Amino acid sequence: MVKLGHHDMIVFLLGLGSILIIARLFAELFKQFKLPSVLGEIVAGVILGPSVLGFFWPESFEYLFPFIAHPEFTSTIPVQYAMDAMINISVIMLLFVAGMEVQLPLVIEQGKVALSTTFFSMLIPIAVGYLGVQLVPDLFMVTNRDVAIVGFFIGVVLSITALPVIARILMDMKLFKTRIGMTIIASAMLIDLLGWLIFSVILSVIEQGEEQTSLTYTMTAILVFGVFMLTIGSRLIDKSLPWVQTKFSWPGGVLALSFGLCFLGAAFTESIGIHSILGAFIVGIAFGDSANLRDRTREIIHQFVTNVFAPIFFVSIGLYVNFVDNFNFPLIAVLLILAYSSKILGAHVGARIGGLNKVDSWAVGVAMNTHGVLEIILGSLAMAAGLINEEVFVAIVVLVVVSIITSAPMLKRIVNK
Amino acid sequence: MNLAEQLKDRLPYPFETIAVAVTFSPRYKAVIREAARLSRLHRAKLILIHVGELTEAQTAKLESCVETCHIKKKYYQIIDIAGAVVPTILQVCKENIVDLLVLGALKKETVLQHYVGTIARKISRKAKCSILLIPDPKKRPLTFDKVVVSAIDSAKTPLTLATAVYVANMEDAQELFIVNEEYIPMFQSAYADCTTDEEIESKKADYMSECKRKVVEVLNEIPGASSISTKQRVIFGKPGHSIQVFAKSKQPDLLLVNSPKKSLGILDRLFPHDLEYLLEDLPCNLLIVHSRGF
Repeated sequence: MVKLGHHDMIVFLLGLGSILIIARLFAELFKQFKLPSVLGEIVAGVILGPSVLGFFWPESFEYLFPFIAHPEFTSTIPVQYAMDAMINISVIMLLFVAGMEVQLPLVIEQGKVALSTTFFSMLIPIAVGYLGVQLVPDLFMVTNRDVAIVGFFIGVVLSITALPVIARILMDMKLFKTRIGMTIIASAMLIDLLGWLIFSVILSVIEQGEEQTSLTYTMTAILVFGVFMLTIGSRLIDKSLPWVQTKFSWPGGVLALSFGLCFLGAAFTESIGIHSILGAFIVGIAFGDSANLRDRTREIIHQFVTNVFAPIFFVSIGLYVNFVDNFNFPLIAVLLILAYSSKILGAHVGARIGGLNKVDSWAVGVAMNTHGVLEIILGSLAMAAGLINEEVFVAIVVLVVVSIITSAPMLKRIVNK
Repeated sequence: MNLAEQLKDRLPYPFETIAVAVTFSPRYKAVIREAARLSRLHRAKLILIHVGELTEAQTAKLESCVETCHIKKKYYQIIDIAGAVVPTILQVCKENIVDLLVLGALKKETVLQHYVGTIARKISRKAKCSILLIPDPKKRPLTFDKVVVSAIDSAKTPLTLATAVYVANMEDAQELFIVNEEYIPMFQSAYADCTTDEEIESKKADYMSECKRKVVEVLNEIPGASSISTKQRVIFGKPGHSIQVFAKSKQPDLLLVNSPKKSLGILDRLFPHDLEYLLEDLPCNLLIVHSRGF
């Protein structure tokens, strides 16, 4: 069995410890400014990474993160593997928790208005993203072969809405339980599900290329898996949870069951040629949908993932990407214009067709244009798959930050009119 | 006046016409007695609906059963009609402007029954009038002393609350629990990463007092609400499921909930609608209040 050596362990644990502590400090700092902790964690990564620490104090950067500073050294390979595994597990757990937020009965209850808002707030951004990349492929630095697929990917990124961020804004503004609030939440949930499905298909297409048979098999398998997990699977989980929560030690039993199922689902989708995150996401939906899942259990799972695993992933973004070198202002400006125009317009049109009045539809449009964690995960996975480069990824991160900062004031302005 | 005009602006109460679906199951006498008690209490006309032609002997059995409940012949009617059970019963209720349909129901459904649907559940999912499901009908029916009503955040709730007050007053109930079912699926994720426990608890407390304030506002508008002893509770969890758990622990005689916005289909069982949690395992007598012309 291959093991991490004595020195490797020290390097790995030193890096991990620094990441967690610095991330928490920055998360708390950002909290003071009423900003999501995830932004603090990304900034912590930028400061610890090549952009700041590596630039001003390269020796310190090499000492703390030799596996990032010198990935070419064979001596750092075991730690690179270990860190890569940690980051992958973190993303899988993040997607599991994101899936737990999706409540399909709520989507069904909202009916026409949610479906219409979802449809147009995906269709228009995907179309705009696709056309944008076709028009200025050089800005997105894509080769002719990849233009269509990159365009499609950018469209998916523009179409996704950050569920937890907008939920908090709506709760703070006492709009959560209103028709606008429920429309936004139900649509954002459905978009999450569809967005991840589309993205997984994109990744699958990249990896499998022209193999039509393999792609058909993959699509059929994921469809069967999804339908099974969201119907029979979720009922089985729902029926077994009361037993697990009373007969097993709590919360140990339910934590083991939830993460165990999450990893099994992730392993299944990975084995059929779809990224593991989709399996974790679907299992998360099935698990979170259970009426028998105690609020306290949900909270513990959430705390565990958002405070331990999420920082590892978000700090790693800044550690591996140089934000200063890859800051491309024209690209960022174009992405912001595409995002704001397409998403606000798309969601507005959808809500209007769904039956909301003009002002409420604009409120839905502005609120739906809140991007967040999932877009960053999408971006990092696309970057790892070679679909986009670091400059496009940095532009996506900036889009997320700007949309989080602007969505609440914009929504307040419309609602108070 | 056509049916639509007769139903326009009609409240779910008072119960002027009460119907009961009759089959000759072992519990049919108990179900009829429950319906007859309600009919006497509300001074309502009683309709016994039987799908399929009745023999003279069967008619005599039904008449004898009703008359032992001290209901004179002019106050009840037996309708026997051929057809598919569920649509026929619903049609009779519609034509006779039935305010309350009483049905005997199994307490719990098996998995297969849940997806295929039993008669009582099928009617509950499609009915356009209020439905009372009685899982354990008594040969000597008891009054509803302890009543629970779900005050979920919905446009239908004020009418359901008013119906609960009406029923509680008619039954001279000892307690009326008004339960706010609050479901905020995003609460944890929205506040988990950047607030302390105290702040979260304070936000929840604010939320609960806001919920209670809204209910009090509605209650103040309902005539007769001040004459009964009411207790308010706010519970968090999935609507339908959380009230079911609450009802199981409180063991009321009657639970009132809103009717669904539309007829429920198989999709609402796969991704459970609030009402499906209750229909799957009835915690007590369940009154599904239909808001009629509103």
